[in-house]
Amino acid sequence: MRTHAPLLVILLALAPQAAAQAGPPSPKAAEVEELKALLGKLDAAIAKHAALLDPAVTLEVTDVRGLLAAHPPDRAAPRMSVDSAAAGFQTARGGGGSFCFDGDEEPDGTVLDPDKLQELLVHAVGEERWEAPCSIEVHRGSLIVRQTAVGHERLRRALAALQADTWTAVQLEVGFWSLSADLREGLRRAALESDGVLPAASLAALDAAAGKGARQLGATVVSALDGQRVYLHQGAERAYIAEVSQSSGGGTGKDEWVAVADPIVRVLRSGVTVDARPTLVRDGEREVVHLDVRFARCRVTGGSQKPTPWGPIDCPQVETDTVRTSARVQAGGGMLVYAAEGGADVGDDVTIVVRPRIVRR
Amino acid sequence: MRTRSTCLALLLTCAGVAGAQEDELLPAERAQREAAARAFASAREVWGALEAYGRGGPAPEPDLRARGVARLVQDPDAEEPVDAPDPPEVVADQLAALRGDVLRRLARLDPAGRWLAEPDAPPRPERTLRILAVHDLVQGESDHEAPSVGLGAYEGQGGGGGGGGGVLTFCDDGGYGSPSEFLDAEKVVEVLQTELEAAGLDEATAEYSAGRLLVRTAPAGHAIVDRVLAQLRKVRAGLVDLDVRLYRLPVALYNELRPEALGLSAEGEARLLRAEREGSAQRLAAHRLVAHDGQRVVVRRGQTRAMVVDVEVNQTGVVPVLNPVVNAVVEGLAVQVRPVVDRARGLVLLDAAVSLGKLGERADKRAFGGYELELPEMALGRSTSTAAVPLGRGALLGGGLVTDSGPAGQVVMVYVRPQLVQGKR
Repeated sequence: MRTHAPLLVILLALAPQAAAQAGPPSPKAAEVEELKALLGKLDAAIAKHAALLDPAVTLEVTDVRGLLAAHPPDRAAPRMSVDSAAAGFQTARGGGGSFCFDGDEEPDGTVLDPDKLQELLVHAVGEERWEAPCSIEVHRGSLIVRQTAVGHERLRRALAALQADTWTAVQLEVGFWSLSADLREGLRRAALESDGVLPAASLAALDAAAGKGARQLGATVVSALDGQRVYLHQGAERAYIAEVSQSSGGGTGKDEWVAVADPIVRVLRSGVTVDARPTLVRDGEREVVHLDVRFARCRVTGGSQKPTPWGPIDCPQVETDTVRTSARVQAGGGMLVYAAEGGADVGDDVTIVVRPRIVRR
Repeated sequence: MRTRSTCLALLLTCAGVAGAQEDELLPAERAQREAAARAFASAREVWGALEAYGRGGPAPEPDLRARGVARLVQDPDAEEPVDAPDPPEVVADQLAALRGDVLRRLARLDPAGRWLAEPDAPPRPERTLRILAVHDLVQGESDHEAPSVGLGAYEGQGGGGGGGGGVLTFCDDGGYGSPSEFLDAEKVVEVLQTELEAAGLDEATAEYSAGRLLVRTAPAGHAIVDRVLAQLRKVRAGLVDLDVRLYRLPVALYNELRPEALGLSAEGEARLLRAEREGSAQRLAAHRLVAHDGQRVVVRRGQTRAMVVDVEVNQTGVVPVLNPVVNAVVEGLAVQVRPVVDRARGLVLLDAAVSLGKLGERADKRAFGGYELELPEMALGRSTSTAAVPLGRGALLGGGLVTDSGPAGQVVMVYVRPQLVQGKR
């Protein structure tokens, strides 16, 4: 049987080793620990630099229809005239005013096109920031962008600046007045003194005179976006037989030669059209509305029917007044578009005043 | 070689400039600057760890510290770290090279530690197929077209069609057919593929077929697809509810409401309702309709009459014969509205066209070839208006001319109130 003595000897022999293990680590182990700590710091620093050099690129989709289609297409008032090629008028569908004022002189209402918008935004972010995987595309009114957080913020700032002035509207209040001679003359003088523009004081005088020398024959309001053409037509349409053409044919032998009459039906439009394009422009420090207005009035004053072998045709007689004018109207002002003195018919006496009002968003 | 004084001068100069620009920085730009500062600070921490390394004991061979210092500041004699950082790409390269040195040293000291071994590749996740409905993204909503009020039927425009003349035509030429059209199917697939590839899921596939998307990818890829589709849908989410009315108002009432005509306040709405109750304002028509964003919708109310508008000559045979041309003449009210929503600004661009017509009691009649042509007369008014209106607020857009209504005058106005409602796009 072993006694405790051998066990004690073993324990005493192991004691120096145990003492040695509990002491300071070997230089090699210490260096390993130091290097592992350094490695941890290195990995953290490398990760931070990688995030700087290779920032996350994310996708954002933005609706930009408001920039691309800042206003719907222009719409022109219907023609009012007696159409006849012989008289120099061409039969048209929905064209411009009565005497073909439209031509190449009309602005085309161009707004920002997708390529131009894309170009502007690329510059706004910085041309150097568009290497793969970053990308930008305008697709059917949507802006599809892959960019870094900084790129997206710069884009948002640029879009906000571009959108600031879009969808600015101009409300046009059109008043039709019957005025006393003095009032009418006063308005004319005021307009002549300031290039066709009526100052606020003249308009206030006109409003104050309602019922006392001024009778409002009618009024209307239309709204247009900056640069857009809008219109109003009030009147009547009448179908009439303008001409008759003959078609004939027949067989051979004993068949008779047959002629038939083909009536040519046209539509006569009468009444009043007001067709306007307001455009915002800078005049020095202030913003004014450049108003391009066309007014046309067409009245059927008579007519006759002419007999033909195939039945009567209609020959309407109309009286037309047309005006195209433009002016730069400041805030609170108005524009004297038309002023006619009356004849026997009280309807001849009409003064038309247009007042633009800018509505910003 | 950089000196401390040069670096300090450079730092002070940069601080002056940076201070002036700080207020103009976007939040992301400010965050980027802060990230750069943190990266620089982490590089300085590495420097500090390098300084501590090997001190108090024999310098290990090869001299890792000296080489690390040399890498970081490119100056083997430098005693302290520089104050202004090198460009991040240079520092990143230096740190990566130093890391390599550290790993090689560790591999020599601790061969069992596998310091230089490549990590095991993670197991490839299983790809699954999903079929997703995307017709709401790729199929635009059709525009509705009102019949042309007037005698366009006599000009060959057809009573049932929209007619020419641009009266009720909203043709858009912004490079796409209609503002309600959203994305092309190929574009949706392209966007998804790009996002999946950016996430390293090169083996993911996405195809479009008949309003559906077929996507085969790992679960992470499906999560990306869901996120992107939700993002796309959010751009055009919701329907536009339109409250459309036609009013006849005294000019004096319009003048009262004029300052807020394109966005009536609660007080303005109340004033309008009060005028209706008092009888000074007359509501001629009222309709509610729902449109998709960018879709043209129509309100039509009135009569349509079939009339013999013309005769045509048929000469296909030997003997010419006349045939009657019957067309529909439309009278009454037609209102076309197209709303285009700007969700960021809370506005709706409303483009409206109004036509109001009434046939005369009697029509002139003419006989031709045994047929009786009907030649009517119609009183009518047409107008177009466009304006941007705040979501949820009513606007008096524009209208027709009222004549001879007394000394004060009256106007006919179209009122539209757009609201965005949630639901299917």
